[in-house]
Amino acid sequence: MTEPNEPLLEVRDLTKHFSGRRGTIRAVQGVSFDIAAGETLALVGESGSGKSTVARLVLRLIEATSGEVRFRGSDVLAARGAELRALRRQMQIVFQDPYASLDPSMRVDAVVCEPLDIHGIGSRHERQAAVATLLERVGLDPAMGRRHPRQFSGGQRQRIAIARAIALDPALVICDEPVSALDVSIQAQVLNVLRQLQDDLGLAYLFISHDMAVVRHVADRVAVMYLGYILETAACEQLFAAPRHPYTLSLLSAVPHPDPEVERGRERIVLKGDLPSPLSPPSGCPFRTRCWKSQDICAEAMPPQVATPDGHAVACYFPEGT
Amino acid sequence: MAETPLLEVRGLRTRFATEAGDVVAVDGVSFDVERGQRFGIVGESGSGKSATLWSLVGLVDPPGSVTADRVAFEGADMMAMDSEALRQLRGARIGFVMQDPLAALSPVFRVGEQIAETIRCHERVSRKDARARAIELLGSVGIPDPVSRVDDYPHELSGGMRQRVGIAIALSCNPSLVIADEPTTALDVTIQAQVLDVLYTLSEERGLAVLIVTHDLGVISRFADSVAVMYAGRIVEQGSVAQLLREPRHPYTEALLVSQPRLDTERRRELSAIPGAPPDLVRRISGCAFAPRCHRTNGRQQCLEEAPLLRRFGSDHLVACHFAEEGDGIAPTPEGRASR
Repeated sequence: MTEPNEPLLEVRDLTKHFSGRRGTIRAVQGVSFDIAAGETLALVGESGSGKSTVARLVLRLIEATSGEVRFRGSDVLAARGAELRALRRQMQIVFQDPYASLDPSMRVDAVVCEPLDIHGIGSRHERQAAVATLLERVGLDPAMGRRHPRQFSGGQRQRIAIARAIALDPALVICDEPVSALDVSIQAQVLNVLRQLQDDLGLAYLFISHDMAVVRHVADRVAVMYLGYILETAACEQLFAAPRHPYTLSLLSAVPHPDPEVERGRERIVLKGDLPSPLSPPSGCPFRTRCWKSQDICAEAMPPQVATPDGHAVACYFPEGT
Repeated sequence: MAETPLLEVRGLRTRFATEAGDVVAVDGVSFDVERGQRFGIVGESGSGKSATLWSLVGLVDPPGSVTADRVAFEGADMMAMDSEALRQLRGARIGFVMQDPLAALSPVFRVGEQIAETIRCHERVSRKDARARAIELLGSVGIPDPVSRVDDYPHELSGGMRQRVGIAIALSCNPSLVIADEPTTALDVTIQAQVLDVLYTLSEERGLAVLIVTHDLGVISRFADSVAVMYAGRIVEQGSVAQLLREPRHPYTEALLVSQPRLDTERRRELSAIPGAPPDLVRRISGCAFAPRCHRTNGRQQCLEEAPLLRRFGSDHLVACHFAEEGDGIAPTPEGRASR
């Protein structure tokens, strides 16, 4: 059992470098965070920020260069064989594209049952009953289990992927851009299902997204990533009400508001320039090449994370609100 | 006598023959784009928004077919033009920006050559002058150091820079209309903001009309003057952006506005999801295509039997709903929007 104060997932100094002919891509650069049981931590960032790589490292779908991942105290990166399989039962993932993540040749009930089969859980009859319950949990009629994925809409397919992810009763589900591939009118269905499951089952989520409005809606805490670094971590309400890193500020500013009067009345920060290549990231703070506050010191070394007593951490020499 | 609209579209219809039967992707769409206007078409996948654009610029190939009562550009009937006349119009008077700039650009030519090629296709200018114009265009779309960038290949540029090149090509012959299909969808949010600003500024400075297609109401809110909402191949609501996004009357527009989390709505509340999914366009829909998902229909027979036509509310607000009067014309406020 988890100790009351022990986090469900602890990630410390997680680093991943990919080496190739063109050089080394520093995809994840010493990332640290905790997730408590039942909590949603959102990793938010643009392409190349390393957020999806973090998800794959935590699940050991790829191997870390260095760092530490602990799940309920046990060392995930060192686990092998039966121990790793047992850990993976506890940690599941929902991918972005439900058109790619579900086997088109399998019936939906078989898709959802597969994790139970692999881990040899229950009798055949018990598994059938479990699949029916799982489909109901995500708002699908169990009778639809006889159909194939192609007969379902994108939103329904993503709910099937979620049913499969919760089949083994995990404590943590990693959601990698779970609504990004879906139409706007469908996203809400999936977000509602994820929230309901969290309330019912006490799931913790590592929620990876580039969409600030979606993140604000689902997260308890938010970590903002840029070029492999976490630049700011805070409770969700705090981050959105009083962002401290200039990058967070510019991300929020870039989201257009659907009310034209609000949208055209507000002041916006439009960043200059592009995301640097992770093949040749800037020295010091990765954001300095686009930052309007940048000074000489920013080029010298990555600013250390400084946290307030309430856990609002920011890695910036010149944060907002000081 | 009112001024002739820059682009006049009446009864546009696009079908694709498939094994399962004809798909009517665009089902009788009509709208005008005025000179200098930024006109948005918003809808989800399968709504027909991109098919509308592709039909207008003649990019629909068999098994697709396009018919229309009238498509006129600067008063000239495009349906009556031969392919050579259309070719002269496209690229010169009408620029086109695609969603994916990597697919739109040739990987084996330098970006400057690709811009110059477009210019030389339509105008008699020397290579040297075309190159000079390419450099000038790259500068005007905000590419830093255009004199050296002009010799880059597309793969040497970031996604945002490539889309700027795409815009430069669309602008290369001083068009009066640019048609843009989800021009910022493939880009990161901070880059999306930059690219939209570039398009907006160029449109203001040059009096350029832009017909933009997007799935993102935020993009419409930031960028467009007028907007048409498409669903299942038809325009269901149309009007000024201020009116349509603040005082929607069609239940689909209302539902789209409230189903999305925003930066100022209550966190973690139950989102009012739109049930079901958009219809399969192979089947003929009798009645209103949105009826099976509609919160307003209440099972009323008329919605199932009779396709609603666009009706006028106020000066320029059009709504295709039998019960549009029941929309109170007030933007739906998700409960708890003010505070938690």
